[in-house]
Amino acid sequence: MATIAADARPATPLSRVRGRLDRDDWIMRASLALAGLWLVVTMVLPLWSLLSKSFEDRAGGFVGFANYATYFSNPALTYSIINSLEVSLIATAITIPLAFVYAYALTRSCMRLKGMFRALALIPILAPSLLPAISFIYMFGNQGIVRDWLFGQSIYGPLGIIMAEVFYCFPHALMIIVTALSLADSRLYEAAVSLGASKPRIFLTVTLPGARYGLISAAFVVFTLVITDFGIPKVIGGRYNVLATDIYKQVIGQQNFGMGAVVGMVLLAPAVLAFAVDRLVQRKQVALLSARAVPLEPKPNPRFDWIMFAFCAVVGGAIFGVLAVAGWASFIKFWPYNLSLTLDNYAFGNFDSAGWSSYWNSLELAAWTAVIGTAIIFCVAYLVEKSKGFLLGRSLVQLLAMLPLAVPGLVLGLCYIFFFNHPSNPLVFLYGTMAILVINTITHFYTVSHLTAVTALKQLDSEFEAVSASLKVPFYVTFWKVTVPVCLPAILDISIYLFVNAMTTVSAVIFIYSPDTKLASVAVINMDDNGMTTAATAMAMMIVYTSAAVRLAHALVTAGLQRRLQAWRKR
Amino acid sequence: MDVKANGGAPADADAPYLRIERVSKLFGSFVALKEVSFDIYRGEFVCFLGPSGCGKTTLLRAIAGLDLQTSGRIEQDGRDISSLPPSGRDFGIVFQSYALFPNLSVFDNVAYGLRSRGLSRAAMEARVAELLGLVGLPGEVRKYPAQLSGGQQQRIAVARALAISPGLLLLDEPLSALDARVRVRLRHEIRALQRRLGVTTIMVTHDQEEALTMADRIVVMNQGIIEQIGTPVEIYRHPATPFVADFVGTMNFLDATLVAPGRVRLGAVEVACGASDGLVPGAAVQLCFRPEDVSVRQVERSTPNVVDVTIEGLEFLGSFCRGTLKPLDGGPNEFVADFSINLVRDFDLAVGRNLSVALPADRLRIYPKS
Repeated sequence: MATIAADARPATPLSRVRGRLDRDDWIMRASLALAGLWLVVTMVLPLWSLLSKSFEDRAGGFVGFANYATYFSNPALTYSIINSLEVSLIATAITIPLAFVYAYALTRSCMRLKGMFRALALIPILAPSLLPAISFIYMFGNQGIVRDWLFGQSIYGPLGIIMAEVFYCFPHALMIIVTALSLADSRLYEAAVSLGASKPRIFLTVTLPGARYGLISAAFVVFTLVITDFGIPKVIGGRYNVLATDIYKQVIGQQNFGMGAVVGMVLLAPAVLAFAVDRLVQRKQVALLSARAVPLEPKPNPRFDWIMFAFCAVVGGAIFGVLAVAGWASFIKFWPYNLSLTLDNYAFGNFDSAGWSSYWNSLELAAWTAVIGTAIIFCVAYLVEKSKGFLLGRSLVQLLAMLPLAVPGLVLGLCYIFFFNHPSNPLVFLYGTMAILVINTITHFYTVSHLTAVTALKQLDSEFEAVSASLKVPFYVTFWKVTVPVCLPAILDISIYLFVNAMTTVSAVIFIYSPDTKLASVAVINMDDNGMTTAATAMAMMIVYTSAAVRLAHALVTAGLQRRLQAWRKR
Repeated sequence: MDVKANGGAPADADAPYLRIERVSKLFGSFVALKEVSFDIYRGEFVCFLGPSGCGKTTLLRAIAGLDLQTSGRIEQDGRDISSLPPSGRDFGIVFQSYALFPNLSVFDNVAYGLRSRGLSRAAMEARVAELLGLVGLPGEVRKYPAQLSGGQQQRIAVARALAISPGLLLLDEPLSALDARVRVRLRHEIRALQRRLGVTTIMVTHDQEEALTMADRIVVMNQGIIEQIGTPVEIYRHPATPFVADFVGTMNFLDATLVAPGRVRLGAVEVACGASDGLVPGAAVQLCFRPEDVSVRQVERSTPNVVDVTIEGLEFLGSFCRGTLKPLDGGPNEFVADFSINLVRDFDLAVGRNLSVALPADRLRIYPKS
């Protein structure tokens, strides 16, 4: 009775068991294949056409490395590489310490008005990158109200670019560093204090090492943002050429696609490098997290708290000031000679033939991107995270989903011209439509949204799908009844992220809009180009108002949702 | 479908309900299961017992079809299910985490598997009420899982798994996330429920006490193989391998030498012991016995297997004391013995005292020394 019965049995052939797939498996695999196809068409093939275009002459013939040779032998063009590196490095070197101290104040001090300071610091995210550039021109430009403050230095050039980039990148760096500093484990600090370590020593041996991955990550993010940004150097760069403006000049100005592709490839290099380093660092950061960590509660220290308050007041005030100047200027009759207020600048029809339609186009783009993008991105993340088996397919899609982060918007836009405008492409009908703008914007902001979705999905019990299969309920029912409701906060976060970015982005869409689908951010560039700075400012402010309103609505909806769902969230 | 597994008379009542034949599972080059074979009969409560990493959960997931075995055959109720997906098999499962849907009420959780079966609202409500009654939680239908205690959540998970009347109930460490007290109570509840429904049940656990109190039969596993299959009493009384002897209950392992069939030398003493099949005299062996089998009362010079010992330590464990005993002439071997409080009082046991104890021959097992 208690024997192992193996010997009594006829030996079965020990062939490998191949699982039979049920309907769920087939649906999941087919969907994954579709997701892979989508990412290949919207990402890989366009990139490929950029690569091949860089080896072609104007007529489309293969010329090998001729374009590269021409590029690197032209000092006027290669000088842009030095310029781009210069402004990127300096802007990074300024932004990171500022953001670190600000983040330190938010997480480790007991200063007042933390919520307000946090909100202030996030303002730049609501605005297109052009806005700070325009605002600095109002302050320090040829007609600037406080131009003397620069002691004769010109704002048009590296100085202006760096100032505007610091403003634009500040919240991105801040969010990463705040996250890193929030991960602190108070037990480490208690141990350090009990061992008699001095405060500077604790800072150097506990605080900085804990935040180092966050700092590295933030530095690379800022560097990439600056080197790939197009709006700021376009508006305030003057004759100071950088890679991003070179692409625009080669492609839009001189219609030299081959050379534009070469510059695109050059711009891709630092972005890919930054991406690779960031992935490496992120992997290490995960190991620092521990479920047992006790969150650190800062203790009041009046002197320290007031110093931090003063610092945040200056930085936060400066951020608000930059926005306020632009907002104010958008209502001014004739800067700086007639400072009376008017709404004329918002009558866009008087400045640009597209008039208000650019704004409505932007709203339409943002809405479609938010709705379709969120649906696609969340479903693909679900398939990658929760489907069974088919490891190869899942890892491939996951890899493809990470790729967009490494591709600067400007390069992506260029890829889209080459790919979708190619006469032999069956998708050529998309060119010049709203659809291509939506697809492009979803792809541009794919990775961060994907990671948000994956993080939320990872927090779900990994056995939901197993339970559902054992109860003979198809996976899509559980997806709809359980996964989506539980992940709703993350889904809302993704949609708002896509919406705001679709409103503010310039870089990718500048190449692929058509007269019918001109966007607000593009209108800002065009009007600024044509000297109608006040109208450009007004349009930029329209973007800010919209982003801010949508963010506010999102906060209210989320709060309401949390209250309603609290029943099953907390006891 | 509801009646198939339990209601209809089986074609052959003596045929195994679940047959596991030479099931192996490889993760890369790591062998998680190595040609495991055994049968489970209808209505049995079987525990897979073993330390973490022994392959017990891997085997359970193979039976459920959640992670297919690399090779081997699994047959349920006469049907080869080896390669079927979970949705094509007939089982209900309760996970260690319970995996209750947090956004659904207790009612919706329990009714989750009933929705697709075209039951009327009234029939569904009746069924859910019946199930909640079965698990002892009537009337909690409107609450969400987070509003329930761990033990209540566990019972809801059982009710959800039973809702579709599965032929096989799989429990993956269902009690290990609970407080010790709740755990003991739920052991009895689950066992009673299983008896009442007669549903064939497999429970994975690493807790030997849980396995001993709940199972009809225990499958003891270690490093991907089955060490022993048997009733709790068999496993406890006659452990087939040193691993089982060590893993289930407390066991003394003493170095000894076989001098003749059924006789071993322990230091200077020679004692009679159980069967020594397959061992030749002179072989180094391990002599095993349980602490509670050491007798103290009525031990005289003439009693077989008397060992004179010194009490080296005496640990108070509430209802009994565990003594660490050192044979006076038994070489370096120390062993532990359990003494009732009564006995400690009657014999005035204390550290440092000498004592004569007997090791009953029928409770002594020997294994070859590895």
